[in-house]
Amino acid sequence: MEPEGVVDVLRELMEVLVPGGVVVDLLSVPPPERVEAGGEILGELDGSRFFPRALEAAAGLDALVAEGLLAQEGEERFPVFIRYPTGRDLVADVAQREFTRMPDELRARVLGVGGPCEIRDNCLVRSFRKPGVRPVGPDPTGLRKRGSDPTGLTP
Amino acid sequence: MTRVVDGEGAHLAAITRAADFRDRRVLEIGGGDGRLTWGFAPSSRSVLVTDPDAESIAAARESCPAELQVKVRFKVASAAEIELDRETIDLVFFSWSL
Repeated sequence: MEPEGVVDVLRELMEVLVPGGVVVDLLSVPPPERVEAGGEILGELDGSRFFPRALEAAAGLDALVAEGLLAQEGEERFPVFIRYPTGRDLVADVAQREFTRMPDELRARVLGVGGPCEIRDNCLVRSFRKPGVRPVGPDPTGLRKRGSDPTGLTP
Repeated sequence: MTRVVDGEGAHLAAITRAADFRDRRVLEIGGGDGRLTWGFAPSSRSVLVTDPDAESIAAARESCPAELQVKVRFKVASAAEIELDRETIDLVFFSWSL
């Protein structure tokens, strides 16, 4: 999706959010994912096609903050691991990804790993709040309408 | 293929530190196979899981725990295709989406 398209979609999504409602954005960020085995770093995946897309989406939320439609409240970076029984399993999994590639030299090294290995991903979670006050607590009138929940699941 | 994605539960821990999902009407965009949904949905009031990939939504629907089926719904849709009434969602969760 083009950057302007992302912002337009986000603006429309903010319409469904109640005043005071929250947005949570979870994404993978640079540095690139690292392949490790037995405590040794084997190399990095090529995320040069993936990260620009992810960061465009993040920039879209930043644009809404600049417009005053959201206010950022929190941010946390943390590692996440994907574990495989063998290097062959890891190579096969990465081969199915659309925007991430494994360099040939790294692929050869990983294929030689007969035991457990892992990918270390770097994640970022950010939270935002829409200006306004969210109604809190149960409805004291007991008259909450069924139509207030678009999923139709509120009793 | 056998793989373990985030066996430590770091994703779920981080998003629940970032926001309170309890009693919230949640719109999850890019829900995939529901791996994170099953973690926060028990305390949410309701969850609408969307993803543009029909196979992912089918897998999520298939694996939805029985106790969550009363409050979790699924829809094949991209972020641009979601149509809901104004101000009817308490929390929007983007997971590797847009």
